Amino acid sequence: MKSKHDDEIKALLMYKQIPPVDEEEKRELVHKLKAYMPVSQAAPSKIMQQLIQKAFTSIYRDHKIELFVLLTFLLLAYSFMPASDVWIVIMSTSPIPIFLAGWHLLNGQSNDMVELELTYKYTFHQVLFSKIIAIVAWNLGIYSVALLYLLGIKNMDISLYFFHIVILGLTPIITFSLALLLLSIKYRRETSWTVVILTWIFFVLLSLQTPLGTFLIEVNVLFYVLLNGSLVLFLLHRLQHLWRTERLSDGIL
Amino acid sequence: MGFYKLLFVEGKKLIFQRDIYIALFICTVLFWLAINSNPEPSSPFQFWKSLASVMPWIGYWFVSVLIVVGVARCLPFEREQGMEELIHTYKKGRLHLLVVKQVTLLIYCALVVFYFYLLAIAAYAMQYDTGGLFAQVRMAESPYVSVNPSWTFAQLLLYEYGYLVLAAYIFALSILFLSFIIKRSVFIIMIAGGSFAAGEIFYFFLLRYIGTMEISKYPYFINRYGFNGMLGFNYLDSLTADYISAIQVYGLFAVIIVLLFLLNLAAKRWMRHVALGD
Repeated sequence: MKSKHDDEIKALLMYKQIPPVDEEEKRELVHKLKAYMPVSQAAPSKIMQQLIQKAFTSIYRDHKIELFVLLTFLLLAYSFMPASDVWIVIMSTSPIPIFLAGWHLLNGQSNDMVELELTYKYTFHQVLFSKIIAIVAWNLGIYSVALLYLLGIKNMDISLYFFHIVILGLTPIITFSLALLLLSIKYRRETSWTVVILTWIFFVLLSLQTPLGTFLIEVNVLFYVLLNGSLVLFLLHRLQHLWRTERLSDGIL
Repeated sequence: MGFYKLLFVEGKKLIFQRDIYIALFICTVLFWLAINSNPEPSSPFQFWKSLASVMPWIGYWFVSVLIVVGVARCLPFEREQGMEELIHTYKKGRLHLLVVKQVTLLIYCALVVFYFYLLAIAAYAMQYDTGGLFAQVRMAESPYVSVNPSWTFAQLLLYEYGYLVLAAYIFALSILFLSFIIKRSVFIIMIAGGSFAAGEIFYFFLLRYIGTMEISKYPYFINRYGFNGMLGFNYLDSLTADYISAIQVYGLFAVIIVLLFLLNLAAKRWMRHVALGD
């Protein structure tokens, strides 16, 4: 049954002038809507790889002279030290690259610099994450080269004792990596790092001048394996947390 | 603002420094480990002998670390917080503020030394019998300090505490003077802490190799009677005891403290004139 309005509707649809589409307005609308759409990004693993690679090369580019001098110093120290003091030299010198790189890292992390870094393409925590990984990688690299040199020059056997001192030397590297990460997130003050370095010097003195050194070397290697394992797990957990963090604890985005 | 209120505010500023707590945590762990890694066989009065020896043995290292960390930011604090201009408007003048800062440092030194003695008491009380506070020192003499053997352990420890507080305060005032020249607290820590550590490395390691050389006698003298020797109780050992008595050492330290206190005030006054250009 036909309604009395049907003809009116038909006439309206047939003869009504549809306003022409403004192309400029259309483009603007699309642009606005796109802002609310999820942004497609490269896979996190790819970003991570790129950033770590960049951080790794930038450490080499900016600090190659320091790294070279440090490596030379370590090789000289390993060459001339008495065989009985191998463990203390390895333990006390193993975290030196972290101390140096950590100093540069925290020295550049003033609040102004952090705010500037927050405007970068990558987030502040992603950059920090990659820097920490690169610093640890450099430290482990230098430590390995020095150990290989030690094996060659001192004709040491790969024995349980050697394994013990290698694990002992890894402990400060992992501990200070964790400390650097926590201090970078929480305090970002270079004085904190200087305090850590200062106390480390006194720890080395203490190990040499008191029975603390003997006490530490006599502790079962399994203890250090467990300690290092737990520290590595904690470090990885914090790094994972850092990668996912979008806001720093003090309110800076 | 009155003296006591300002003292309270300065004390608050000092103890709210995070770096102090980082240093305190690490030093506590190391001090505790070092004491417990060296258990000597128990003998009569061993507790008091160990307590009298612990500060000249290793305790002064930790005291010095905390002094360096605490004092390094004492003067640069206002500048680093961006409130130096505000200090210029202070009604009683900046010299008054400096006097208060120096008094705060004395309290800080006393607290730091007290903390480490407390820690040592706790550690040794777990190892040895604590009886014999009023026994004479001659019953178990410490190899590090040479005092009247008829003193009781109570007297000796009280004396040692006062000695270390005064020595730490001299060290603190000297670092404060350094911070008139060096503006950034991080460099103050590096220079003051580094030179103290270098002194210890020289004394314990380098001296073994160069001890017989003629040239080593000058750095040895500086080390022995400089900050390292002062904090390490060298003014009380058997070599020095022939020339100066234990009580005279207090007098000497008091004179040095007064001179350094006035020197800091003079430096501040001089710097104000330099800033004004007159």
